Amino acid sequence: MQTAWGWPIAIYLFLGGLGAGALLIAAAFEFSGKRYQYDFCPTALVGATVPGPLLILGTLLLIFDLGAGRREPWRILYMYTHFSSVMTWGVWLLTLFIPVALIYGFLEILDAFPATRQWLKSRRWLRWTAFLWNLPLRQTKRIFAGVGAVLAIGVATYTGILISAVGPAIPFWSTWVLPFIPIPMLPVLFLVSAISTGLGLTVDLAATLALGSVEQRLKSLPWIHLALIGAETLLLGMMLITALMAGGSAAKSAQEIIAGSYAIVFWFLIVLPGFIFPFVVHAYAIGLGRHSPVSGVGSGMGIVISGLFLRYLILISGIPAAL
Amino acid sequence: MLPSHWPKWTIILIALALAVFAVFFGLVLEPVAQAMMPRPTPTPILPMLHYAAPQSWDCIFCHTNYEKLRQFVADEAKLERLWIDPADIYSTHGRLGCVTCHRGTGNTQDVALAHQGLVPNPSDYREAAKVCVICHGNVRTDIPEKHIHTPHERILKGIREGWEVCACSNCHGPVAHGEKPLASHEGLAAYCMDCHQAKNVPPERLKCSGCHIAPHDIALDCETCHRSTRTWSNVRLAVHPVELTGAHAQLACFDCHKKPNFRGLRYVCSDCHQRPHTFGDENCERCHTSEGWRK
Repeated sequence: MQTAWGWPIAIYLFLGGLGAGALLIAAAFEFSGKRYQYDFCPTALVGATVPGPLLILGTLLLIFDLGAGRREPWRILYMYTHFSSVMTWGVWLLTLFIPVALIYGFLEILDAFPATRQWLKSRRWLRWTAFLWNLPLRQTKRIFAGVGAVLAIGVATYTGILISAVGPAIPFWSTWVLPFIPIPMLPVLFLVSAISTGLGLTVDLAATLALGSVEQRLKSLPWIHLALIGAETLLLGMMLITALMAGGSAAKSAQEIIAGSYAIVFWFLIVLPGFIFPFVVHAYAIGLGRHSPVSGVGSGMGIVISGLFLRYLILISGIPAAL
Repeated sequence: MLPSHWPKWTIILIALALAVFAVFFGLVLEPVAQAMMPRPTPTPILPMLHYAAPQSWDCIFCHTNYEKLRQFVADEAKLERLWIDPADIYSTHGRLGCVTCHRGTGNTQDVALAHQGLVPNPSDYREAAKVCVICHGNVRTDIPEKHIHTPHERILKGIREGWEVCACSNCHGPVAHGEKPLASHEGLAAYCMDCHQAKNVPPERLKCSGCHIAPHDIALDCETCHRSTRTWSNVRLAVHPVELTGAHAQLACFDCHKKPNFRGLRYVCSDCHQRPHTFGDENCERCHTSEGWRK
């Protein structure tokens, strides 16, 4: 097992993926028009407002995990100009994504709660924001949703690219999509997992808690979930099989995950809550034609927690290559 | 689901709280799950090495300078051995710094003090566990892509358990001093042979196949065809089932045979030659000889 990266990085990867996924779902609701079908859309509200704070928290953990980041946080500025480094791409992505997500969230709040606008207007110390009231709210929000969605794909994929870039040292992290396709699997897996956890948070959890009967508004929800769970299972399975076939420390990592020291975390904290339970719940919902709020919340929580453990497990199971 | 008197915006706080709860849930649950399984051993990594490159500049200053060295060493052969090419300092192992592996005292120009506690060969079996083996502790025994198999596993076990085994540098050379690993086959072979013969190692380990994995799927010793330890392409044709004469004697094996397993030839002319005329049959030897098509 590698010991350099532990929980702080795993949580950062999780929050990055969750935030990016949530914003992608909100943007999808925005551009598909679903957002405006009802007076109140908790999915778009949560998907737009939550990513900014989550990414701020994740970035703080990232800085905290860097030894120099704790002693001399300003040294992170050096990372903006080293363009051949994957970390520099990430620093730029986070730098752009966080303000865009915060503005998108702010605009969504203004749209969902018109009283907020009145409250802001009435505050003397906020008079400098007067220029905002002349902007077309929904068009502006749409621009930020679009830019945010592009950056969100970058953030979700980047977390996988960052880990797979360490490939030569930890072969499991750079396992290819297939033994004959030299593209690292992690960026693809993390992107799908980000969308899945984003959907779990914004729809299964937030919308179910706020409304109860989500299936009336989003009839295709179980099918979307089944497709995402299927894709994630396929990608994770392919990654483990490719690692086993590659031999060496990559195979050792895969063995430890499937039947070794990490088997309980893998089967009971990832596969069961994040794959099996939501699959059964949503397959049952398709057959039944409706969703129980309890199963919706349970499936959402399972998907989110499994997303955290997926990243933690991939990090912790990395075994340095034999030199 | 939420009480109707709660403001709608509370869902934002609830979603944030759930995300944070998931993190805390993970932090609590992971040690519980892990306690049910054996704890994996952390793989030793580089920080265990006493890294002292910044303390090595005074060593480098002397050992890259002939004139400086000459003040302390009169013997030219020894001088040559102690001099280090400045370019080697920036090699992979050179970057680790002298003091990291050779110890002694860094950051001093006092020659006696600098060499106090010096380890001349850090890859010696008594020292390697604290130096080479920290990073190279899991070296493969079979290296099929280089057609080599080695006793790495036994040597590493010996180093870890303190048996008298060969030093890493016996085969790999002084890696920080610019010598390419396994550059000198003759020296390596002589070293291995001398030691193995002295220790009565089974004779089959002294053949080429003692170290080399043959790429050909044939049951012959390497020495049967190959006759040089410098290049594999220097071969003799002693074992060819058909006598090769004339132009055929000038060809390399894989001009005709399929690499690497010598399969696919039926020993008829049309295996390699195309008939440029319509008369006659496949038996070219009726008219031609191996000296050339015109004969």
